[in-house]
Amino acid sequence: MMDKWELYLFWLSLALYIFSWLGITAEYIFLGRRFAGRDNKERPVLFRILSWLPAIAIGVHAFSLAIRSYLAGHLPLFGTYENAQAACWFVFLFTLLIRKYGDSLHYLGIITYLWGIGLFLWALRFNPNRIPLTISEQSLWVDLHVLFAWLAFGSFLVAAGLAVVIIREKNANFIIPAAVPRTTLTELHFKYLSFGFVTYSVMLALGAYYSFLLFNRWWQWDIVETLSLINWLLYGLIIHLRLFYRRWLKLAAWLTLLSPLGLLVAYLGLSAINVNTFHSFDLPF
Amino acid sequence: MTGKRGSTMNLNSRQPGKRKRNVLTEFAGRFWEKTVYTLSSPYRFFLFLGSRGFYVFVMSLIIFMFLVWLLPFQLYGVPDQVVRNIATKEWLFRIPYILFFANALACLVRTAPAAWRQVKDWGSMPALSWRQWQERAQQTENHTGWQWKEYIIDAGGAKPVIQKLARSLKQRGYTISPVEGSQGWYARRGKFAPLGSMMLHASFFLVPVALLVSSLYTFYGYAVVTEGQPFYGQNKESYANTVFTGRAELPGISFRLDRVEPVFWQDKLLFTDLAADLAYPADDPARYRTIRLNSPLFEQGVMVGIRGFGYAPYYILKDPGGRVLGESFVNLRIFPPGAEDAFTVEGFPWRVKVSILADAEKKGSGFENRSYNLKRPLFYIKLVKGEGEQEKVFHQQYLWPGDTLNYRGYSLMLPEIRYYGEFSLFYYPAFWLIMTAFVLACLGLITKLLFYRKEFFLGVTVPGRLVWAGRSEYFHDLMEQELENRWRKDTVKGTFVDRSQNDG
Repeated sequence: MMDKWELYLFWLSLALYIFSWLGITAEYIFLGRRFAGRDNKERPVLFRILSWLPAIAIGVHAFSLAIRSYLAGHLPLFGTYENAQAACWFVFLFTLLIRKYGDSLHYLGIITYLWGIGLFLWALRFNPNRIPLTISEQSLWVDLHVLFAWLAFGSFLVAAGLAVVIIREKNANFIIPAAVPRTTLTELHFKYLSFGFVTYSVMLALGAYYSFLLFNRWWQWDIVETLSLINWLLYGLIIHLRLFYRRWLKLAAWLTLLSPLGLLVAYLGLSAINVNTFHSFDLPF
Repeated sequence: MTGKRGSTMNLNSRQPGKRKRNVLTEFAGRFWEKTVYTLSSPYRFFLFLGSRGFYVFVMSLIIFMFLVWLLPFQLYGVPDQVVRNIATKEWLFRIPYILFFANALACLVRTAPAAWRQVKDWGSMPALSWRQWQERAQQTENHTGWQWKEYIIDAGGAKPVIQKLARSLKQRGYTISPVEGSQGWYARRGKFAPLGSMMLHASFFLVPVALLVSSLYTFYGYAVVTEGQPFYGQNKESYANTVFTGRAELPGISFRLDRVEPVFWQDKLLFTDLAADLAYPADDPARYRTIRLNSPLFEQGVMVGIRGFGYAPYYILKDPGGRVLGESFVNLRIFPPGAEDAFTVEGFPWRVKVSILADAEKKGSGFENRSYNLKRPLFYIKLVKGEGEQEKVFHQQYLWPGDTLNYRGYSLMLPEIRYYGEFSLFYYPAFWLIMTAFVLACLGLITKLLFYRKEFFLGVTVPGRLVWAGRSEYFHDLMEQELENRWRKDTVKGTFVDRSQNDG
């Protein structure tokens, strides 16, 4: 019975995610500039409802993931099927949180929701069977490691979405209406970057500690670790550029846009190209 | 002479027949001039070494090298050990690392005193009057991202409103102090933010120190112990393999292995648990502990971890005269079922090759393995001579525990089978140094990037009007929204006006 509910909610959440994106895109096309900067209450009822669809979607998806976790006996962190879904959930959540700084900012979802849906669809390529955790994954340290990885991934992807808008700053109404000051966007970009960098660093530290417990080595130079290290250094560089070289803001934005490629390959892509890594958990059962 | 110089100085003119501007030569000239200028003074060189520009260069270099030198190899399938050797032992990589550490050290030395002063001033800042406060704000106006924003709020009964806001800020971790000569309050947070980057950069230096310490005192031992048997860490013979660095010694730890238990999911080769019960010290156990793959035992500074397991059958081999040629547990690599391993016994002309079905079930004329759990073991024995392609099998048969294999007067029994555990013993005195580095780095980042500096002034200038001013280290515009949100959330009704816009 629970199995079925997980499945129903899974497909329902996918549908809601897609409708969220369609709703926001339609709102942007038909109303976006007219209602930019105004109070949410001034929007037509239909779009007001549609703008909250992502919140309903992540709620439904959270239920689906919770049922899966209950049945599998662990958090949805094992294998690309679960990880891609969790990553999608965090991307939607972080995009939703940006509304705290202004209703018009939710148009960012036109970019980031699309990426989130892409992640969700990517999950469909993998085995959905519920598999218990192997010994090496049964630890609170792993749970924390993965949680921080998701937090970092979600915020980096939203920062990448903001980077797209910053790069296209000459087009004043590109995605985010011109009523929202561009300085607000660059500040939000840095806010997501810095939060992502902190959580990413904690994730690396937790992973290194757990690697020491498992293998007596802090750093294994596994391909995922190499990619993660490159990304960490890159984000460190971006933060330095952003803090001390204001004139290189666009370069920082470009790097923020490109860096998630490394994260995507490391988190979700390597199992698809069959590279040998102990970070791959797509077991053939 | 002058005329000639004048003609070459006009580099920007692109008229036909005139000499063209050579950008590369110009750049090289400027670069050379700058290099000579920088190197001609140790202080200037020090400043350059600790500069952010140099950091950007070194970091870009390291990232580039990782991207073009390590990653393609790994995607191609080069083993991790080879990649580790390239990344840590090749001088081509070591030079950028050294440059990075030099940059971090110079930067730290350069900026630490100023950061410390900032922290000190922040804590001991005297209560200022509103006028002094504005002057101070103007002095720091040019600092990146530290501009002040000022608002006027029309509110009836301003003092209670201020008190309410002050209380609200205090609950959010702000330090509140009164402003002299005004019915106002000054709220601030992020005192230690300037130390954040110091902590992060300082943590990097613990890594080479840890490497130095570990190169002097690290011991790594690998041991195979059968269930029920003791292990003595000070006997070198107890180990299958040992690695010492510098002046490291054998650890004094000993234990008895009471039980090893692997657990599998269904009938699949998926481990869901691997536990080992240890009693220590070995001869007179006073303490008991179950260790797991990811939960090692820390005892006397040594980390004892279980790394694997295997099967150890007990054999009794007798010659045609009934004399026992040998009897003992023998640790064999015959897991997973189907794998083969062999042992030899002095006086027995053949090698004994063993494989096992851990949970045997009769199927037709043969046997099949139901699961990986050691429930109903069945051995498959081959008596062979020669190695590799020269190997010749003389006899082969299934053998249940307790049954006897007879061949040319010799008899072989495998009456019992136990698990053995593979253990690593790791004495690593730099453990706490690395842990400190991690904690310091994470705390530094959190302090610098999440608990950044924010200041608010809440005061009354004209009766019934509230002045609300503030600044934030990074998020200037966002702070404006936060001010407005907090005002709306925490206070009675009032109008929130951006004074800078009004004045404009």
